[in-house]
Amino acid sequence: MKEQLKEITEKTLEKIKGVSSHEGLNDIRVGVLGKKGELTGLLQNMKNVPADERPEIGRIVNEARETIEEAIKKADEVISEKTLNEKIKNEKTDVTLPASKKAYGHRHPNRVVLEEVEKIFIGMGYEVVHGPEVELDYYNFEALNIPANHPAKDEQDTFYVNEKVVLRTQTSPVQVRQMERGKIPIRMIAPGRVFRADEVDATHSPCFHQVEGMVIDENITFADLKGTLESFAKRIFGEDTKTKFRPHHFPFTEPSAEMDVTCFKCKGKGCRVCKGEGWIEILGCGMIHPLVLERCDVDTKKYSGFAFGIGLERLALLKYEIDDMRLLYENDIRFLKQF
Amino acid sequence: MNTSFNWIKDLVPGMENVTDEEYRDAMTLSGTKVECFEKLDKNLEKIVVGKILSVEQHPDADKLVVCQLDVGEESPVQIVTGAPNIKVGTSGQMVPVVLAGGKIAAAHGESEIPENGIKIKKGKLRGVESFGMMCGIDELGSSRDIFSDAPEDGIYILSGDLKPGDSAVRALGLDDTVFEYEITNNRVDCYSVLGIAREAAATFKKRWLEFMRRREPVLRR
Repeated sequence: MKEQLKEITEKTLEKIKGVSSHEGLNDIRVGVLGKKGELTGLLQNMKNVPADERPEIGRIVNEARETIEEAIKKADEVISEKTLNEKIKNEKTDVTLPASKKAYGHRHPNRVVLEEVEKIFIGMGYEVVHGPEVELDYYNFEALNIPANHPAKDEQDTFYVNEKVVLRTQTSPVQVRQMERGKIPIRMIAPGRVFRADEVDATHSPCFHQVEGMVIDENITFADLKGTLESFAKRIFGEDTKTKFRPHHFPFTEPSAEMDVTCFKCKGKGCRVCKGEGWIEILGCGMIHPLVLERCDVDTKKYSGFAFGIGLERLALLKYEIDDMRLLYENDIRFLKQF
Repeated sequence: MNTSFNWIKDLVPGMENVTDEEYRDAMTLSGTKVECFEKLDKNLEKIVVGKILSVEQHPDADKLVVCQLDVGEESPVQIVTGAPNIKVGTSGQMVPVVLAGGKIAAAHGESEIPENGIKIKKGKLRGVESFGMMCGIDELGSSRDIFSDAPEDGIYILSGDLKPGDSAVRALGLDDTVFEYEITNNRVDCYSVLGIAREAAATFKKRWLEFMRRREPVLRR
């Protein structure tokens, strides 16, 4: 009996060593310790063992069982760990990889500048209005005191759709349309696209954008114009910006002026941005010509007004120090990504 | 629209002491915007009228000649040149001469105009010393557009009542500033020198000379 036990134990331990799977171990366990197992079979033969030897045999059997169970358990653990390590190795993911990025859109510099301009003027009590891009010759020229054969009309290099319809060359027609709506006093800005038959180069484009501004009320003076535009310049270019007004001429304003601001780059000393002048021209303005007002039935004895027009691309090019206007229209992601 | 400042000063008495910058600022503020201005003699220094006394063949170079010029100094100045219109045996012509230590606006034959001109030094051409240079019209910063009597390639020959040693810059009218204006289309009267002169007279509060010349008969009556 004892020899059989020893034999079974040794044989089982050997088998365990050679096993590399849980199933294999289980088979051994069942084969030795299960209902029909070898050891169990042996135990059943206990009745053939003389009574006085039974306690000892029993003890030895239990010992054997424990040994085998211990070995199985240990082998089990080893196999488990081995499988786990295998799994880890095979299913390894680099958790330090960044998450996949989603591309998102960017606002165009024109829009960024426009929103800033709108914010400034809305803060001063202006409303934002719009007008058509394809405009009647009447609103783009005649109503603005530019008669049919005036040289100013040629100069503008206009795109004509037909004799009476043009692509607007400035946002000023919106002034006239707004006045015709009859609500005085008016404080408005009108941003929009304008068209001029210019050749494309670093500072010109046949299609560009302007922001028109107009105020009509009682007792509006040139001082109001200067003050408004100086505030605007300080808000958009910085508090220490100075402004300079020079006499100019527009058919629809009298007196007319152009406004320069101190170069934000060199603060007036002279540099490449301002071409050594220290000043950069940014807009044209003036007091609305009485003929323009009268045409829209505005009582010039009671009301006066001022108007101004800013080139939007000009502002964007200056503010972001972009050299070439064409960059604004090429839709190159590398450019737009920076805004 | 461009005008010569000297011409304006001619037409409007009393503007002699107005500097280029003052003129620019005042005219812009009174409505005639000065876009830019250019001093014609910006890079011209020590350029005098020289009278060619003699021209001899250079001993060591076929294409060069050695000239002696009277530039109004105690002794004549020797200059070597390869200019095609200075031939051996000629004499008597008056030419612009830049003396050693002076400056010219640009190098002959080069299209790029240096910002600060070119300094002229005493030199040796094939072993013969040259103490200055006779100038072609391009070296003086101008062109045949302005001086149509200049040779296509060669030294500019001066004419008129000139003495050796006189300022060649003044003789050529290059001691002047050219102003470029932006004329708005409500002032087409400014598309003329007279128009600009009248504007300048009004701006600087001077009597308008041409006006006076034309009006005088009426005033006398």
